[in-house]
Amino acid sequence: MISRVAENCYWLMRYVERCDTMARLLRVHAGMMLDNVLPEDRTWLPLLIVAGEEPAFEERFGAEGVGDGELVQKYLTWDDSHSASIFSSLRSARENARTIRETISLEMWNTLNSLWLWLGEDETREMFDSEREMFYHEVNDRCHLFRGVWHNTVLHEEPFHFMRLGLNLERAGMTARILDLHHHALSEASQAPTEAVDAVEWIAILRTRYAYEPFFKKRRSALGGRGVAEFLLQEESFPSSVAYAVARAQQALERIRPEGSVIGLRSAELLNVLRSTVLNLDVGRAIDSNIHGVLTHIVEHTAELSQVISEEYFHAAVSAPAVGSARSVSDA
Amino acid sequence: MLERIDSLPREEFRRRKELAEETFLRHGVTFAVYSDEQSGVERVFPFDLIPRIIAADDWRLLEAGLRQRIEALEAFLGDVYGPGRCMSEDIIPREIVEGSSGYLAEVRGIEPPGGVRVHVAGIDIIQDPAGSFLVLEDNLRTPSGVSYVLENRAVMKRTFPRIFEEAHVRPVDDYGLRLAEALSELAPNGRDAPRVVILTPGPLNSAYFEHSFLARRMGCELVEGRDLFVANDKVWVKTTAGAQPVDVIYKRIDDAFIDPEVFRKDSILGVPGLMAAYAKGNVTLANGVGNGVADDKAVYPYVPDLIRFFLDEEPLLGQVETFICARPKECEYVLANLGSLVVKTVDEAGGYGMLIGPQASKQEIEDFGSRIRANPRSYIAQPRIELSTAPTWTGDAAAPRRVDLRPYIVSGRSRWVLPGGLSRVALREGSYVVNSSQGGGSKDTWVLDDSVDSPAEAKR
Repeated sequence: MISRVAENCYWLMRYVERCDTMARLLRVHAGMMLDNVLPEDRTWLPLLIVAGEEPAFEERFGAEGVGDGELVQKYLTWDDSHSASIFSSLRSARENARTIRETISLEMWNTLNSLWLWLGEDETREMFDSEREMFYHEVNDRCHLFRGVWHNTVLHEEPFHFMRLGLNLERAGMTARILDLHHHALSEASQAPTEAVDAVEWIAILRTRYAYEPFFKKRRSALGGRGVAEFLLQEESFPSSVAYAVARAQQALERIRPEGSVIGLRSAELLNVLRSTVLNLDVGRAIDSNIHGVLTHIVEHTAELSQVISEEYFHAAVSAPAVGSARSVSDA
Repeated sequence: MLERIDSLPREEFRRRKELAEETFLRHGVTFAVYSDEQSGVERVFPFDLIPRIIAADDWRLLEAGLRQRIEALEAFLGDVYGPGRCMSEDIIPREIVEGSSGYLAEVRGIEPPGGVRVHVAGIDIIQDPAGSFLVLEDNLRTPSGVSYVLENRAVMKRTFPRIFEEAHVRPVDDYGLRLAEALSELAPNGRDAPRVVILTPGPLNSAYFEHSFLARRMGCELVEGRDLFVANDKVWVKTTAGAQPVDVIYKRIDDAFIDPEVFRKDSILGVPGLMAAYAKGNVTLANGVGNGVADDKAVYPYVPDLIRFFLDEEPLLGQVETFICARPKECEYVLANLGSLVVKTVDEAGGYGMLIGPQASKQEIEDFGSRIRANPRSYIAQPRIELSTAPTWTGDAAAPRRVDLRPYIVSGRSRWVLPGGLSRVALREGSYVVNSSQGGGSKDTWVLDDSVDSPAEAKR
């Protein structure tokens, strides 16, 4: 398929995933505030960090802005001056989709465009003001709907696999990033037994990744840092775990690469390394030594992967086959 | 049919209109307006729910005239870039042809596959008060708007399913397939299963919706200039599996931008080396390069003579009397009668650079007069034709509004005319301007089929 279109496919799903994750993070954190166990700045700062927006936000609103939940929520939902807000992610997703409408299905377009139009309606703004939980809920639901529509209305061929690659790399990186936000809590928890405050935080992390119920189905052990980290990193049957997402990304790349292909060698190799890093990780030991380092490494590894995929598939230096290739011969 | 629509309660009609507009918006059937803001606001092309209806007999006449006109213009282009008989035999002055901004000397001697240059034509037609069809303008480069024809039809079917069932309306849905077939059969060296791509300036272009729409309907890929490159005088597309050969390019980019090595050097939309590949016969370009000379408004007055010359036939379609300002005598007449004429700039489209004398202020007329004096070659003038009207919904009732019609003609090894076309309507009362950029809208165009007796048969 055309390289530029592959890039649009890849980013379309990344942006939808980002939009979904941000809405989910905001929703969970707002709920956490209701439990009233953490100071405001400790609740909202992590969101700015995960969005990569901490410096920009502080520059604009000062350090005290971080304690202003309303300000942070508006910034991460509506502000179009940076790329991490729900609004900006969705705009980028929709622009990618519009660019490759001939590639995606009509149903995908309709679902995504409806979400975009909905976000721009006055009633939606009112809903944000008065029924915030419902607003974020709606964004999440519509993202789920989009992915369902996607899965069931396109050919599961190359464009689909590039979308899958984008979605899963975004997911893997995001899960590692969210865990990393809590690396202090993880390290501390290994020293002392779980307290109520910690429990709220663990539950918040799980819920952010739609992992609350799955976690308890899978692990009947007590709620704790190590269990949560293991689950989100290594649980091979949970869609938002790093291990699961990386395995799916690997599958997608295998479908994209014909066997023995010289294109995509580095991407395949990097994915292999990432997968075994994650699966072979001794989470307990990492928590005792340097969990932050491990998580940072995973985040950076996914970023590098994205870079290499771009170099190998989207912006590769392409030259015409040498004269004498099959096509040239048949032309003669 | 109109009575059926008329019998709907007003409220019901309004509700259906809202539904239709919502569908357009949700489907993204929009064009971007760049004059408002930097970002390009997306607008829905205003749509009128009352169809424009053309009787089968009228259509037969029009279709025959269109076929004849395209055949002649095709021959004219082949001649202009070939032997040049029409000029040496004084059918049309050489300076009109070679002085046209659409005439590209680089194309001389290039013989396109199948000899076809006008793969897609959109001919703007008006009806005079007596009902005769007149050609107002030829569009032989990249006529746009066909996506609206197809989308309008889809929305009409959804909005008025019952009424549609009873009408014997000829379908338009196969446009994409017809075009894809026509282009495929003109691939270089008669290649089997050729790779056909649509070349777009990109998602920021106001007609991007149409480019993307056509890619879907034709089942081919949509590419930008940067996706393509030329090596060994052949065109290649960059794919995730390396370079792949391209056989046919349906270009939706102005000729001036297609190859920076030959035309505008600053173009980042085009493909360096494309013209060389074209000249070698290694790629089919649709429409042909240099077609602009044949739809130049200064060439238009000669088309009836060109039909007689190339086909040895009398023109079947009339056209509007035209004064050419490049001719001193006619220019004098135009300047003396600006208040009653419509003056057009020869190489502008979209209703820009136009003076409608009867509606213009004294100041506007004077300004236009001095522009004509400064550069007479750029202007032509026509008497204002009373465009025929069609019933149009105005918000609470139907009222007559002026309409034109752009039928589309697709040419491959054979020629096909889309039954219908884009009916554009001047929505403002009293207005003559039908362009979407200036308050125009569109209607579905129903060409009736008289070869069937029952609705059931008509649907087949």
